[in-house]
Amino acid sequence: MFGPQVSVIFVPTFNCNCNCAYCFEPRSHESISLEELSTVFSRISSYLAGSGVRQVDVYWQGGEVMVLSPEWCLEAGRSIKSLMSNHNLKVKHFLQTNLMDYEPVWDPVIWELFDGTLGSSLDYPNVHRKFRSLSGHSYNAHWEDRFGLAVSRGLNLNVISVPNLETLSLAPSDFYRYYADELGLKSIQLNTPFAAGPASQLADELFLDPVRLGDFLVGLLDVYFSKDDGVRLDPYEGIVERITMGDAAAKVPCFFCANCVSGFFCVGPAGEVGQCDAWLGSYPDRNFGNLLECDDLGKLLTSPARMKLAARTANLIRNSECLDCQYFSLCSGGCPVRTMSAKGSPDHPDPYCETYKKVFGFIEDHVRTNPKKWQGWASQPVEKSRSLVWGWPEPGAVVFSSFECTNNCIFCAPAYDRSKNPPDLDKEIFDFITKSSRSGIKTLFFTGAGEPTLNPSLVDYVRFAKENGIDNLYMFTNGYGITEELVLALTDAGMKNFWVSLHGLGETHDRIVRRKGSFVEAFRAVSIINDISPERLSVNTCLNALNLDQIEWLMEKILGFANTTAHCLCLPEWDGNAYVNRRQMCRLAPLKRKLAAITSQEYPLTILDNVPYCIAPHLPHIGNCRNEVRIKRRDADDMVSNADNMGHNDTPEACLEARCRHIDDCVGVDRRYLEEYGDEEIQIWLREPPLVDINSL
Amino acid sequence: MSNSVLVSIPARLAGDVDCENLVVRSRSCDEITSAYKTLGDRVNGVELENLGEDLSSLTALPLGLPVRVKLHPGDAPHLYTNTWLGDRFSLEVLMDVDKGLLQGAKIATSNMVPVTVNLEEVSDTGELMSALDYYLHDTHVQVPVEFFHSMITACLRGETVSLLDLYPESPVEFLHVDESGRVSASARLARAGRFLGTISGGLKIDEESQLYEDLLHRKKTLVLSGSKCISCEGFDLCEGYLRFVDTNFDCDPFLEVFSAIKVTAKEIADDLAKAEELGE
Repeated sequence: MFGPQVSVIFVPTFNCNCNCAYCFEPRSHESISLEELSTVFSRISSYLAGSGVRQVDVYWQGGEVMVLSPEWCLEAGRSIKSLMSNHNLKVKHFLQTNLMDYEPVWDPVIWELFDGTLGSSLDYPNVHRKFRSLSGHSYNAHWEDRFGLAVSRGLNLNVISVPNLETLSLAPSDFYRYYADELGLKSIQLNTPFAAGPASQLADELFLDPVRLGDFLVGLLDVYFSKDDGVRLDPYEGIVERITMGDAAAKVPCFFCANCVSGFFCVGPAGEVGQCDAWLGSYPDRNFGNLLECDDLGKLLTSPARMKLAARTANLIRNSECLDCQYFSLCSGGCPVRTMSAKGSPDHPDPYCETYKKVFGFIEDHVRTNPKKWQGWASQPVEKSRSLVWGWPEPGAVVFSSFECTNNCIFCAPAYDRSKNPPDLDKEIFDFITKSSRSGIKTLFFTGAGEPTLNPSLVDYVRFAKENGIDNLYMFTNGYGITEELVLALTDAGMKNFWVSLHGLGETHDRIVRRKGSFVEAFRAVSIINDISPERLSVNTCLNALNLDQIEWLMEKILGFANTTAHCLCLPEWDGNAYVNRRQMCRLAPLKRKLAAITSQEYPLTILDNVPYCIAPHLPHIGNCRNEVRIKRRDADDMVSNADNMGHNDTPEACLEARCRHIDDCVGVDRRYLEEYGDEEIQIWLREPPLVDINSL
Repeated sequence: MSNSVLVSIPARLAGDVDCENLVVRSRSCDEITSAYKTLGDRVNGVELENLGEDLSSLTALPLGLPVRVKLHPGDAPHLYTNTWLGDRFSLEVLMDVDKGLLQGAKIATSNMVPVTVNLEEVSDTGELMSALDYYLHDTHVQVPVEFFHSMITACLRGETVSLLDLYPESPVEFLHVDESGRVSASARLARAGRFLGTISGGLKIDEESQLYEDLLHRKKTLVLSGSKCISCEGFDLCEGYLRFVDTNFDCDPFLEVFSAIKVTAKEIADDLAKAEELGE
């Protein structure tokens, strides 16, 4: 029984490249197969969907996930996504890795499944962690090397640190400096050590004196509260939020939640189900059952082992001093598995009870005696409402700023216009901008038959346009060459609106644009521009037969970026590559079915371009608003008002015969598409009721 | 009878009435979910009279539905075994006034579940003041404990909210159907055998009855009956609610609570005024 959101800790393998002294997991090479994974997650999704769950967060843990191959992980992640989607469950993946075997070959997986963010672990000083022949400082040095590489590839990292005896000998300021200043981490979580599973024989060494640990943490918090460096130190920042804002807004880790049993469960490499990876690894006799042997997760979740664990807090209330503690609402008795490892039963208060009391007391005093500092925390952060931002002052004009391109997209309409940039391109463009300014053009679109960032003068063009009074500047990019420095330079010069092309996830995008590694590049570009937060950040997805089944997944990813303002789904003109590859373009009938499942309520940034109106009357369309965009593509072209911007489209006979009332609003259908397939599809759906009841939306 | 009247009814009888706004109640989760399946959106909320059994069938109810759990303080620890209820529903506890009230309130509020003190089940008022004290002074309480919360916040605004506002017994707003299908304006009136009608052949109430008249015009009834309530110091906060069913009801513990609420509200108002003066 869960709320609308549930977390699944997924341990695909117990195999690990490390041999850490405090590890609570068995040293086994067992891994789950794709077939077993499919069975397990099919049963999980079936049960969760039937019990009203809407969203599933899958936390990939080990063992070590990176001992598996990136290809396997990608396939596994997609399989989980697909199984969950079949049951209308949204899924989000998270990865915890020791990072020691990280290589850029993992990037496509990390971007596609984990949105470019990793969780890792690092202790300071390192006492217990070992990787092959590396231990102590050399372990950390190797981790820092991998970390540096990951950061240079644009990845974000959160780190969990477990204090040890040597940590307690450090000055808290030195400990803080290592993570925040030397490594530059922005998100650090401190967990308390325990000794379970294979590590239980080291109990005396691993368990720290709770009072001494409490003193160290208080010192650390003193340092932390004195800083204003954007670092988040958990779980203590979560406690601050809980004290100042209440439960709803606080994000506290599992060991402080009211009852961890109600929030998540764990599934292991042999299909075994337990409460978390620590329970699974250390106390397999307390597992709830096995999903490869039982097809009903519900039976496992009502097993005596789980029911007993679910009653733990109630038992503490009845049989311990917990309810008398002023901090009971903050810790709910703490972590059951740490308690189990220290006391042989989970039905006691957390072994670090005294540590937490000290820390909670310090945080509470600090928050309540510095009301001004914490004043801003008193109200919940207002979530930015997501709504489509579209349109531009007319008339606009297209600046062909590059004829060269890194990609060769299967749908590229101007593919045959691509060439080396002419030697006098700079002069042409500056002249064009001048002429545009004089003729009252209000908006310029920097695009071309190629990729604008390949033109080293791009920033100069933008600045020149701005200086000539054209204030509404857009640029399109496939992500190539997008760096923080370039985006900042462009925005400084006057660029307000960025438009990144992203046509699928992972390999799908790479197949569509026909260049390996381009997905990672494009996704990173969105991420970089999102962080800089320009006036508008739009994503463009060209609909085709290869990406139609990924559209919703892609839309979720785009919504996941806080500053995206539009997600344009467009049909390509049947010209250039699109015509050559017309079998890989999108048929209208399956597109109509796909778009029927998409609503503006769920995906508020969606807008359609070059899509006939009746395919999706319930979604916003650009329609013919581009009438006022003037295009000078070749020398022979004058910059004329392109009154018939959709000149490549026709109005199908069927629409005319049916006297469709949307003819004036509709872009029509590409005339070459009509030549190829006729208007039979349109005739069929003109006779049928719409797939979506517009009035119900 | 208006369609807007909220009707609290045993789940097994809910299909016998054609009212639009129902609160279905039962000790059995299966009965509740079965009623919801039949009645759909006519169910505005549910009242679960027991937390002991397997609650998993409640997952069939829609997210965010108001769920009120009627609870003896001694059963409050069960809330921690079923924390998912608070994640899924708009959860509230109706807690009997009995021994253990203080602990029960602490358990529920620690788990972020709002509490309403159940004035229809008053057995032991010994912990009422300590429960108020906990609500007022424990810095970690982040959810309301009613009736304390509404009374204090109203006093701070210079307004008055009475027990009658918080525990409505007006038949134009709320009706209670008992296990036998008899209709009253609250559970305590039903237990006292004071009914307004039945649901046989559809829910009907006698709008000409003395009870109906008394419920609609309480103050008039109290004045005409020569009730001492009118001159009671706590009348503004009680409006005769406590002794409406039993004229011998011992009001003293409640009067103590009312007095503490007024004093506290004044202290807070003074502190706020001072802070404003100091520009804090």
